Amino acid sequence: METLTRRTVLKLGGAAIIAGTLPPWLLEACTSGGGTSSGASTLQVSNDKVTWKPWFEQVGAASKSAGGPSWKPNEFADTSTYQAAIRTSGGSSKVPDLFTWWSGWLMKEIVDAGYAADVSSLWDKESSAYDKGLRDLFTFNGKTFGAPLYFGPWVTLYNKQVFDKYHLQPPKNWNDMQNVMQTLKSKGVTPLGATIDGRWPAFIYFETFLVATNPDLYSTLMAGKAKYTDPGVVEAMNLWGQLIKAGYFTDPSSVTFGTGSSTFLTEFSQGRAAMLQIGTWYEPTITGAGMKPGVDFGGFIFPNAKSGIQNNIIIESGPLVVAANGPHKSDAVKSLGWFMSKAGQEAWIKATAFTSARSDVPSPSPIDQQLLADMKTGGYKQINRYWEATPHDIVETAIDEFAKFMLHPGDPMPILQNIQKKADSVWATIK
Amino acid sequence: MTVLVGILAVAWLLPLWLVVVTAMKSTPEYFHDASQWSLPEDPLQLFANVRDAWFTSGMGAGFMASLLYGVVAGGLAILFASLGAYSITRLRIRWPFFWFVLVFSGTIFPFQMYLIPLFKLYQDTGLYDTQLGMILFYTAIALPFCLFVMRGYFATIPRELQEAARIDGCSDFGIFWRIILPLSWSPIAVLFLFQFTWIWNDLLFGLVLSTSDGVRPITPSLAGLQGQFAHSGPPLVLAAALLATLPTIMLFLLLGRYMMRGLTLTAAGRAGSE
Amino acid sequence: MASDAKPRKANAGKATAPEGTEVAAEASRPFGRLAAAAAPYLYVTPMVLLVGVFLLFPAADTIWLSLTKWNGIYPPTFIGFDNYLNLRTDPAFITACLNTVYWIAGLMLLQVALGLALAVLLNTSPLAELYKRILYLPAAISGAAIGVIWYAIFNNQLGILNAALRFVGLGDLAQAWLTTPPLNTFSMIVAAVWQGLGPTIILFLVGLQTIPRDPIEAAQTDGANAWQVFRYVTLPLLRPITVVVVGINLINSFKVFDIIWTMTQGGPYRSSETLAVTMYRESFVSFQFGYGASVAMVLTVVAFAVAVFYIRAMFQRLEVQ
Repeated sequence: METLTRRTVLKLGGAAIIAGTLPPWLLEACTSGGGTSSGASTLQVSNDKVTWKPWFEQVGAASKSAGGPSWKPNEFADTSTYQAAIRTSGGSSKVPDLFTWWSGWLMKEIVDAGYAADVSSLWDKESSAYDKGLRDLFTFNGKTFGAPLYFGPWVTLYNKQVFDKYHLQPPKNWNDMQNVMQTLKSKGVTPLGATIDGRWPAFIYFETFLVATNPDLYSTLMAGKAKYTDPGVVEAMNLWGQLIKAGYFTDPSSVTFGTGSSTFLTEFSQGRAAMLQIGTWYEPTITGAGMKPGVDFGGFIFPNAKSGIQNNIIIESGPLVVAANGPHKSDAVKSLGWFMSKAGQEAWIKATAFTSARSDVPSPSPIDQQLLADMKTGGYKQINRYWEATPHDIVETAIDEFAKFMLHPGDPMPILQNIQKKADSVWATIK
Repeated sequence: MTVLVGILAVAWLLPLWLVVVTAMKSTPEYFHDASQWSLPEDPLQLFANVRDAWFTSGMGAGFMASLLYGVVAGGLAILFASLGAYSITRLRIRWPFFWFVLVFSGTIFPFQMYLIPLFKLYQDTGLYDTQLGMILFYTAIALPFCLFVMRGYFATIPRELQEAARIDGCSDFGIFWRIILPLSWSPIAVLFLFQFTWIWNDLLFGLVLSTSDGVRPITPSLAGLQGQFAHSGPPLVLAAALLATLPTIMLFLLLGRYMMRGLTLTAAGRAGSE
Repeated sequence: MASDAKPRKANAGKATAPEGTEVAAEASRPFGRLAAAAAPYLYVTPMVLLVGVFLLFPAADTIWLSLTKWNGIYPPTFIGFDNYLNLRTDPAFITACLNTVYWIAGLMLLQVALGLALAVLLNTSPLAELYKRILYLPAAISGAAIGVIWYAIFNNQLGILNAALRFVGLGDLAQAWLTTPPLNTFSMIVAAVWQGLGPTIILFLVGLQTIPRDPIEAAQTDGANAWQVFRYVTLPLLRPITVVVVGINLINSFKVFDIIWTMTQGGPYRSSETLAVTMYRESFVSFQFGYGASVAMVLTVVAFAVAVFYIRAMFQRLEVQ
């Protein structure tokens, strides 16, 4: 089994190396062929990721030394304003060359509006190195838009020292998980981190428990083919509510994940809270608080809460998009091609310490390496995160309702009815 | 009673003390503290935090941009408002009260009223994310209050001065530039302090009208630092908050007395006309 | 009025004309007369243009946008008064209206009343200068920074306030200050008062210093106690400045945004939104710009009613002039 995987990896790697070395040559041939001087030396990369600035610059410098244009990041301090700026300028010529975005419904909007350039050819070229399911996230009506800027499986991060202290192992099934939670609770450690701060984290456990109990319903619900008031959803909510009432979650009103005033990190690093369900992109934040990945903290995939259902893992991936109306569209497409290549991804991962979406670029994090291996051996199906998986108007309403539930866990029905009311009106305008 | 006021004054300073103490800690130190209010191990960490904030998160560029907007837009607003107030109070202009209300009505709208169309206007005209665009807007938003104060103050300057100057051969503009303006030094200084502080502290418009380093003012940069994806800890954020607070606090500590005296003068003028 | 201007300006022209330019001045007189009449308008042009383009035009545009549906991607489409009709049944909007009333009442009670009381106390205090400066200090800090600071104070578990309550044995009083409506709104009002009290005190002090001593001394010799002096002499004499302070506070309570946005973003579950926050959220988070514009309109109409009252009270005397 292991050798097979290794061989596959080697084969994929070989293909990727060829793919990674060829494009620059081809690019040069192309540019010297037809009017070189018009080539852009710098591409503008708009984003809402303020602290990623040096990373964009580093990968841009690597692009330049590979013969491509350098990147000039243009970061927005506020996500909402950033979305507003792209939404209102995307159809004009004032758009940047490249911009970061979200997959799923948020992406469908800008694709429908014609803001994003079709980069299917880049994916065709790299098809062996990227997961087909991932490509689907960025594919609309048979065309693929944007390249994965980040790729984050969702994982339950846990404090290894706390687990060791109470002789706990990462749970393999729901019984294990219940045992872990009970033990931690009895020792005075809060099992799971939860918060409503920043609004969006309220969907985390809704998504987690629905996927862990009824993944098919999750998919149909996201597509508007099921209702929030369906028994399966109620079941997941009740499971969640029961665990909240059992005291298995941190007080959502006092804990924050954010780093501006993160109190979860304090709890987690001091061993007062043991686990957190979140994207792997959160690992550098924990590392920043002085904990070592793989030594002080580890990660596992949240186990299914029912037997006999498919293994699923929630993933989150956001695209880097070429603006269809951008000033240097063809240069931007070429640059994105380089970014997707092995060399480009290596430069990006070197800068960010992220997990690469590319299968032949190893992740620097021991946690992610383990995770990716587990995903492969366990035959995990990748499922898109709630934030991107369903129309955004529904998400905005739902996260507020989930927050209400987290603070006052009781009968989930009124909450689900409120969400369904919104969902009805949103789907009515789409269908 | 005095004791009560004393206690209140101490309570008033507590939050600031918290900021300073937290900004003096390193991030790991902060996370391992049992309480957020213990004393820092090494107060000199403050400088390291401030330096990190300045260089790593665009705070430095924001600092310089805000300085530019505060000085230039604050100054322009006072100049234009003074010109207008002079015309309204001292020159033969039709419907002086109409002009006053027209401009002053700019201050009674909640800022939210300007936001969406302004964003659209800036996108359409290319003013979006430019220093010129920021200066123009900050000048406009500061104008109504400046006009209000300058108009009130000019009304208190005796007309005899103007008549005497005219007999000496001064033009209208000469009277404004050489007599009225120099007499108005106090309200101008006060207005400048107010407007500079307001512009420096603005979050909403900086957030919506600018994006890039060198254009974006300091407060949106600070707000961005608190973002979910920032890898910086609370000490860095509060050090940045300190950096974003320093100029206005320094202005107040250095010129506070002058400011209060100026306020007294303008208010006295206002009460006199009441 | 125009005929008034002529002789005066002609006079001035003669006085300023340097020797030897008589002929030129004579020749350009009709033009000069026009220029003289136009000159006062040139002085108001820059401010009128700036305010017109950057404030009044956008404000007017909001009126139109409030009658449209616009998601930022496709051009706005006219939908009549639908946005306003939807507001009536939107629970978030109703909560926001209520919270806006809380803010107005809270700032009136705490900021204006407390400011007045402290100003009266400080007026005779030997340490007034020092106290004034301390109380004013937070006014120099941005709302965003104040949000960051007070978040650390009000935080439920690790917050300084709850820790202090537990320390003095009042742990029962510890609260989830920012997540229990409507307590979260009251908590944020306290943060706003921390910022706004200083300027209010200074304005009242200015007013107190302009009050003549004679009526107060007369009342005192008549045997009035401190409260009676304040109630029947000082307070009526303070009326002009009180109008100013109340007006400023009223208008400011409509505009509060930064503190709420950095502390709760209007949450949890939209429980602490004010109209200003609802407007921002509908526009720049939910991308319903038209709907957001209609909230801005409601906010403006209410604020406008207040402002008319304010201006009239302030300028009655000047209007007569």
